[in-house]
Formats: sequence, C-alpha cells, structure tokens
Amino acid sequence: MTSLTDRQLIDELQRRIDQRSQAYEELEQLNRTLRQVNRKLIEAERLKTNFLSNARNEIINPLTAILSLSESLSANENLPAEEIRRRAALIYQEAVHLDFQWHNIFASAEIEAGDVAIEFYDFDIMQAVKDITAKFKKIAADRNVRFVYDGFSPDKLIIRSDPQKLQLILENLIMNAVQYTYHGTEVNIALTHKEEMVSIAVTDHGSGIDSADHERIFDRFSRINPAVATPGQGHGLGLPLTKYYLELLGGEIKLHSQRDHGSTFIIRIPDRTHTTDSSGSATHGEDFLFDQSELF
Amino acid sequence: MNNLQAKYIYSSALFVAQQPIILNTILGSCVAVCLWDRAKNTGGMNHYMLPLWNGVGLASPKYGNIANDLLVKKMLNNGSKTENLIAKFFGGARILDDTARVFDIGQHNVELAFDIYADYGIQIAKGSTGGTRGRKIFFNTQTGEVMQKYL
Repeated sequence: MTSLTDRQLIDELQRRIDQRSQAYEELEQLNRTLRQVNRKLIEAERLKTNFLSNARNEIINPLTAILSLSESLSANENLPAEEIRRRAALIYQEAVHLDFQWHNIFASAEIEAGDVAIEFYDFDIMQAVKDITAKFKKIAADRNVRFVYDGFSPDKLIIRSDPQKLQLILENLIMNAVQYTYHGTEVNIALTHKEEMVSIAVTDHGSGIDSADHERIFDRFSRINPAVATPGQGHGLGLPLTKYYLELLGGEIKLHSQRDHGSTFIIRIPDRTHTTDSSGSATHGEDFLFDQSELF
Repeated sequence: MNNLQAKYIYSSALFVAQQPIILNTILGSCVAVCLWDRAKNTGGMNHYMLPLWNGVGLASPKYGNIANDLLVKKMLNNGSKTENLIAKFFGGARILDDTARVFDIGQHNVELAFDIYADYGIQIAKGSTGGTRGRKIFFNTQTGEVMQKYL
C-alpha cells in the first residue's frame, strides 16, 4: 500500500467510478422495466373489469335464450313438429355456446389456481376435429360459413396427447375463425402429421390482425377489435388459454395474419405415441431405490 | 415411504396435500418449493418456471410470485400456521451454459423464493439449488423429508 503511485491511484478511482456508473445504468434499466410492468398491471386490471362484464353477457345471453325457448316449448301444446325441432335446435346451439364459454372460464381458473393435470391418451385427431366442426355447424351455417378440410382422410389418425386440452384448443381456434371470417366465406382446416408432430392450421377470411397486435392477442382479457367480431361475443380468455395449453403439451402456436388478408393460426403438438419417458409417469416405486440420493 | 401414494407435480402446477403423500417432480431451471407443516405433518409443493408474472398471458403459478403466494395461502387455508411452516427450495439450475448468464433464470427463481419466504417470516431449511444439473425430488408430506437425485 505504501508504494502506490499517483497513476495507480487514478486508475483505481477511475475503476470505481466506472463501476458506479455501470450500477447506476443497471438501476435505470430495472426502473424502466418496473415502470413497464406497472403499466401492464394497470392495463390488466382494466381488462379484468371488462372481462367481468363480457363474461356476464357470455353466460346470461345464452341462458336467457335457453330459458325462454324451452319455456315456449313446454307451454305450447299445439306446436307443429317442425317448429319443435327448430326451437330444439336453437336451444342446442345456445347450450353449445354456453358449454364452450364455461369450459374456457373454468379451464382458465384451473390454470390460475395451479390445478391442471395432463393426461395422455390415444385418440383419433381427425375425428376430434370433425366432432368440433359438427358441434359448431349451426353457428357456422347462420353466418353462411363453410368448413373446408385439407389433409383429412376417411381413415383414422391415432395420436397420443391430452385429448381434452386439445379439444379446447381447437374449439377456440375454430370458434374464433367462424366468428371472425366474413359472412359467406369459408374456414379452412389443414392437418399434417409427420415426424411425430401434428400440425393443424385454421384459416379465416376476415379482416386480419395487424402485426403490431400479434403478441397482444395472447394476453388475457384482451380483444383486439371488438367491433369486428359479432357484438358481445368473446371474453379474451380463449387465446391465452390456447397458448398455455399448447406449452403444457409441448407444442406451440403461430399466427400468420395481415390486415385485410385473414388470419391463419397454426398449432403444432407432439404426438407422444413413441415417447417412452414421459415426465408425467415419474411415479414408479423403483425410483425410491436409486443410488446417490440425498435427503433434505 | 413406499406405501404412500405418489403424485407428480407438473410445471406451473401446485398441490397441497390433505393426506400423507409423496409429491415428486423434475426440475431444471425451474424451482419447486416444498412447504411442510411440522405441527400437522402435511405439506404442499409448487413448481414454477419464471420469477415474475409481467402481465402477459394467464396469471398462473408458472410464475414464482404467484406460485409462492398461492402455495402459502393454500397451506394457511388448510389450517396451517406460518410459525409451523418450513420451506425447502430445490432446482434453479443453470441449464443453458451459453450467454443465458446475463439473465440466469434459475438463480432469479431461487432468489425470489428466499425473498418471499423471508417476507412471510417462514423458516427456510436446507434445500438444494443452483448448479448446472437437473434434479428429481420426492417430498414426503408426512415426514417433511425430501429425497433428491441429480439427473
């Protein structure tokens, strides 16, 4: 210490100043991040409030329709068979809607509570898609929208994944496409399966999504342009839920869309038919016999 | 220990046991907190991937701030008292040995756990965090013991 030269002293001081200014910069950076998060949270709170009123409509509207339609059926003794069928079909359609909304809301609540479990089964993915479009047939017909399939065959395509999660993923994508595509156009569903990956692309021919909004649509409660969609429909849970489930299943979602050119959502999920080591089955008794284990 | 049922805790999930059970999971940079009630001989576990929810996506226990608050809340709702709780942290490894060093997610996940449980005034016992290897852990909610194996 006694032999410290001026030069060394100056260098040391300089070093400390540099350190300080670097720390200061890091702090500034953190502050900026904090401000961003703060803005996001305020936005999230606002969206949550919107969500409650949206969800209320989503549930009360179909329920009101079901109540009045079923009431009219039971109160009128002399309805012609055709009219009975027509009203029953309407009740079914509203019930499908209600069922779909419930599933989205419950599934989101389950995710936010950390109560989600994955269960892998073998199932026919082509049939799963057909079941969903059959369920939405009436809703699509009302908007004069046709389903066009690509890559589908009369054969079965058995894959292994979590069918319930995949069903909700597909219901959301297909329901969105039916609602956002222009009246009288089509919704295309293309399926490919190769190298143990299933890819499903759902395309609508609606107004499309600005690239600036591509990230935001996966935020919860956010709806890009409520005016474009059928008024009063949607609550902004579907896409965040879809994205979350896909991550859970080891898959991903991509969006190709431009303003005025429609939108294509492409999901890719692994087919686990040949996967032997699934972390989900890590509950075998022999695991307790392993060597080199430590106890805490 | 072998007679107990086992339950796997998926990432982003959490579970608070009502009956004695073996909770197990596999961790890389994720962190699992084993929270044990020494008075009631019960426990719960979470398994989170990232430290903080930033307002994007669903506010799920994928994020440490949510997963830990939820785990403590569920234990307390279950009749536990904070002074009887003991927390052990596992995971938080640095799996990607590239430039991910700039933002070491594993380390942040662990630091967050220490902060949160200190804030709650919950006792923190020895666990196993950091390093570069994955872990498999088994948490016996009756005895509070956690068996760990490196992967």
